[in-house]
Amino acid sequence: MRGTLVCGVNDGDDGRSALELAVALSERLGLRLVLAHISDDIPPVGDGEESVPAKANREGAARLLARLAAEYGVADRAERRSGSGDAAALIGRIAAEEAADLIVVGARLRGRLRRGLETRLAEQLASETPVPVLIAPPRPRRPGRMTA
Amino acid sequence: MKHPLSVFSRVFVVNAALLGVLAALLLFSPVEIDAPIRPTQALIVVAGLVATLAANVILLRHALAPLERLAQRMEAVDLLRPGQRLQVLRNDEISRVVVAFNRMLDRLESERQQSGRRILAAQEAERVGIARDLHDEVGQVLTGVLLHLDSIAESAPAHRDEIDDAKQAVRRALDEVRRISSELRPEMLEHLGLVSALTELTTTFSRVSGVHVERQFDQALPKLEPDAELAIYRIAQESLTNVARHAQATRVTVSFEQGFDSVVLRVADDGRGFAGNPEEHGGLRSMRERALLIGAALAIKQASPNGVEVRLEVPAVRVVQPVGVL
Repeated sequence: MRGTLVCGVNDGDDGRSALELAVALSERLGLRLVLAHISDDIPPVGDGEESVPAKANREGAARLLARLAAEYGVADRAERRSGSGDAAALIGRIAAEEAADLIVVGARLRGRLRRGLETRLAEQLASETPVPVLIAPPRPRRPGRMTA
Repeated sequence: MKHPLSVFSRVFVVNAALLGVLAALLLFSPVEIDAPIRPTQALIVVAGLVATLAANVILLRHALAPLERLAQRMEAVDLLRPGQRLQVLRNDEISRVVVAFNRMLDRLESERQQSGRRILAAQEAERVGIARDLHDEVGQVLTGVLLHLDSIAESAPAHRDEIDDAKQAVRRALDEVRRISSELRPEMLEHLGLVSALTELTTTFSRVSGVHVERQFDQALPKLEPDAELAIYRIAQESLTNVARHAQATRVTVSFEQGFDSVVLRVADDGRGFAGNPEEHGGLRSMRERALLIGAALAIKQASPNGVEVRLEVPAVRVVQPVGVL
């Protein structure tokens, strides 16, 4: 392996476009791929018994990561991390722990004309980690999903 | 630096502008207030108040947002995860506080690293001392007891069985002393290198715990500094201790392989894993401390499909930054 790529994923269009780019880059550059899914639930406090909702969230995140990894053909090689809380802080932490060389995150289209990019996560990551952040461009809009 | 105005000036300007707009509306609009006030007039006053407060909230929130970020970072800061700094986007009092906070973190992280290094060095020296005492003092005493039991056995053949039992117990105690002594002072690491020391560590672990160990060790690995080798050994040792104590695993994979300008240690078990993110204290914090001191990246995470994986990536070459260019 020539390094490590951490990709922030979710089930939305932005997460999928990030995953698509991350898979292509990791294959082309020979990078280890780590998929990170962060939910915005309140993180569990302490190390006592895990609460039922926290367990459900963790298992849901594991299922989502497994499904996305299988969908994009990287189930056998992508490592998976999940957590809950502040997405930028946790992805920054995962990048540090995994010795990441690059972070890939998605972006949404912004504005009525949808010409801008919503890149808040990437902006927040700038103060969380010294690892370079690559923003995956949004995928072309699917037919029939246009809003009025 | 987009905002040369101070926070005080900005808050003052925002409020002065809002009050000015309100006064202008009262002075130049045809609205009149009767006494007693009529419902439509009351509605206009309330709407004006709500609009003023909403504008105030929006503008003040924007002005004070960096303070919120600073407070969040202060609450979440962890010196064992260094390098997190707030961005300075403005040039005002809050930004000066942010700059001062970032500098304070620089100092704290540096001091923490120095004190951590001193503590670990003292801990290692103490371990070596205890190992030597165990080996030289307790070991010698137990060997003496064995010899003494031999001589008693010769003079009292009627009690041979009891004496043999006692000799077995003393031999077990001697083995334990040797094992603890070698855990405290990994002589194999000093004399035969890290791969041999890890091989011995995993072999002993498998024999004592009954957990099957699968080893994947690269034979040709880049040279590491002695403190890095010791940290890797100790982290592997702590990881295996955790497997034996908590994991309820039947198999553990220990790999030590070349990475990209690095070496990577992985200890992955097939046990019950942990629920969520465990609080890191005791052994886990000690592992993080050791990783921090050698500039390594340490991840403690769920293994796939179950269990826990400890992954340590240590840079093989310490890059020396140039001090300056003439």
